[in-house]
Amino acid sequence: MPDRIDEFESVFRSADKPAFHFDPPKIEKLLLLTDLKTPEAQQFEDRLKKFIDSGEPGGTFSWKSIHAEKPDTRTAFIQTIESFNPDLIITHRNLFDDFNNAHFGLGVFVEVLTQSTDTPVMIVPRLSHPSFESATRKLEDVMIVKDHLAGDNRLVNWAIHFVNDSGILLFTNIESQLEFERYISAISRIPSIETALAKEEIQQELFKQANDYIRRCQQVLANVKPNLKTEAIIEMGYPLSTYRKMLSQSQHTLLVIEGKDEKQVAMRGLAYTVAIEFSDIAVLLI
Amino acid sequence: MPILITLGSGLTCLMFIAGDSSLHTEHTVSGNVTALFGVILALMVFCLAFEEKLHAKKSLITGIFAVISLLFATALNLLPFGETINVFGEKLKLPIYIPGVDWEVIAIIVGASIFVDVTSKSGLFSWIAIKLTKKSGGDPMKLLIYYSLMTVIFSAVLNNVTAMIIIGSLTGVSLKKLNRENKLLGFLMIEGLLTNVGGLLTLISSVPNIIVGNLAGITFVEFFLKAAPFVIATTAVTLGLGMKIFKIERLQSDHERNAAQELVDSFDENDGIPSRAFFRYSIVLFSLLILCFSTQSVLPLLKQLGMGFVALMFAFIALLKYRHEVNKFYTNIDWDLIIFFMTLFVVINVMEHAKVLEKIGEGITILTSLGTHGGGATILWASGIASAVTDNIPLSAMLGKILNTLPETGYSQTPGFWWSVIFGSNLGGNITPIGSASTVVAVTMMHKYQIKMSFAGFVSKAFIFAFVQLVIATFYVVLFLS
Repeated sequence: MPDRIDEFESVFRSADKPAFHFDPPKIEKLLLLTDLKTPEAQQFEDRLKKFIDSGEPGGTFSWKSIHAEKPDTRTAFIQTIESFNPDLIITHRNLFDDFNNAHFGLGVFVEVLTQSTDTPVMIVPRLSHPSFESATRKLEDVMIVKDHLAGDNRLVNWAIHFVNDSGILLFTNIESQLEFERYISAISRIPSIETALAKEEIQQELFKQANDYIRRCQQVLANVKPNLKTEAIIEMGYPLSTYRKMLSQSQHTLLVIEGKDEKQVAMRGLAYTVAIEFSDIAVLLI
Repeated sequence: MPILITLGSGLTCLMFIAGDSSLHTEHTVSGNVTALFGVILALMVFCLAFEEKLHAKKSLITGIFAVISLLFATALNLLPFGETINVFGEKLKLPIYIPGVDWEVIAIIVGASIFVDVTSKSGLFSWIAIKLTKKSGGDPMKLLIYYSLMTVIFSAVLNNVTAMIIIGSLTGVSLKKLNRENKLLGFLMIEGLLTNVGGLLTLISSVPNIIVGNLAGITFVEFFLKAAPFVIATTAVTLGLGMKIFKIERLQSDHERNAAQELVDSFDENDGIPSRAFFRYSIVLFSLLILCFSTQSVLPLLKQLGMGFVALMFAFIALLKYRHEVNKFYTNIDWDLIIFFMTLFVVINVMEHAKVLEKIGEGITILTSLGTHGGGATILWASGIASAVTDNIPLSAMLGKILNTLPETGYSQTPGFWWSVIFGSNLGGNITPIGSASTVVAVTMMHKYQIKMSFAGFVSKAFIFAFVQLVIATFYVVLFLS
């Protein structure tokens, strides 16, 4: 009897599709953070303003720029940011760091920023980085990066906001092959669970959930933004190599990633890996 | 010596018993022997009542007692061994325990269970359930009304347990989605109680109906026409009482209504449908099944072959969809239940030969002597209370057998007594959490959702409902069915 109860519960849970509500974020106050000194700081600011405007021509924003010295304490740093209460924070990698090799991480202060605030943070290469120009040329295509897309309305709504009329919104759902195989390996050691069936059905269900959600998003967007072009990639594989291949085919892409996991811990898993790996493009951490 | 014997679904044939003249069915049995078998029967009923404590399945309990009964009955020369000869003069060598089993009942249960299992794979029932969930707009009161109606109808056409599993599962998922988990207890309780009310709607809705209805010769249509008014009235009363007791109210503001509607709109009723063609096929097949059951007593060929044949026929037709994997459906049959029935019928048959049923019948005669009204009411309440603490299947099987053999209590003479057994054994299952398989499912689900529900807790909450239902049933049987 518990089997049959679970069977029907599964049927009804499967029928419960996460809805997508088009609810674009209200971005009015932008905070630009940099450790550059004038005139580089001004150059950085002007470039970023143009960059943001390219995604929303005619948009009216209230900008505040902080060209700061390295804060003494974490609390002081966060208080400075929160006093402005921005809707979006824009900064560059390795903020306030003594070294600025992006491949060693985003930088301590950027990581603190992503953990301590709920405000989305857009991270671009440093002004001195060779890829700064290409990364901040134009907002056009947006790629939503997630290992399992289902019900991530906030992520999708933020991504939509930055897609240019000439661009494409790309939903990507790349399930980790390594993690999946680890679970299947464990299942293969459990006599009461048929391994082949489990492998096939779990994979199918993972793809189905992502497919259902993306389709819902596309249906809603077809009504509210009929000119918006969307595409979807749902796969299981090795995320980094898959994203590397995709990004090589596009010139103006903003990556939109969830900055915090379900336990509100920042920069875990895919977010951290992708943010470090693709240090030469703009990344928006939600 | 020729004797008239009735087998299964009203098929009557003339049989010639050959062999030892002491193997007549009309035989004398000493009081001590009857008492011995009475003790065996009482022990079996006791063991069934404490099935959970014994950690033994029903089928094993009745199986063991069938073995014991047969051994004793054979040793004491109670059973009519020998060849049987059918109406065509053919000699049949049947094991002694075979004719005692009501194969019509077994066939209906096996056939219906396979049929329901196959058609549920089409997504038909989940489609209906989700469609009604969306129609309710997430309003708790409307949701309860729709779920209750579905419970009654599903109990009528499927079986109580399957109905409770389907509706109970959906209740859990939808109330969680609507953030109304505080209403789960009320919903599951009302649904559990209504499975036993819905189980009165048709001849095939519950096993007591099949057993007693078969013995009485009540047709599918007659059963429905006589039971339906009661079921409708009692469903309404149960719902009204339930809404009041568990405070299930309508949503008050437009904001709440919009939010709830949005939540239920995200359900996709087509998700569980693997194939549109199979879905349509299931609808057609289901409709034909109900039609055949309704008209079986008048249709040529089917009226001879019986309802069990109809159930099995549709089961095999449904299985055509899964012709390569029929094994999994055979595996899903509740063999514990089937073997329970088979061995129970064997025990009852032995008890009949041991004159135990006759003795019990003498006790029943005291009740029937109160008249059609008084007797009917007493039998209804007695069978209701008895089925609250013990399985209603052996109870209804024995009472049906006894009424069938007592003089002047045949269905045509005293239909009220038969309906009293049917109503009492179904509704009594609402008094305690062990009273019926569907209330056991309801309580299992409550525990699953971390709702504390003890035996006493269930009785305290369900008693008022069961009492009202039994009162309504008493008036209904006495006034309209006697």
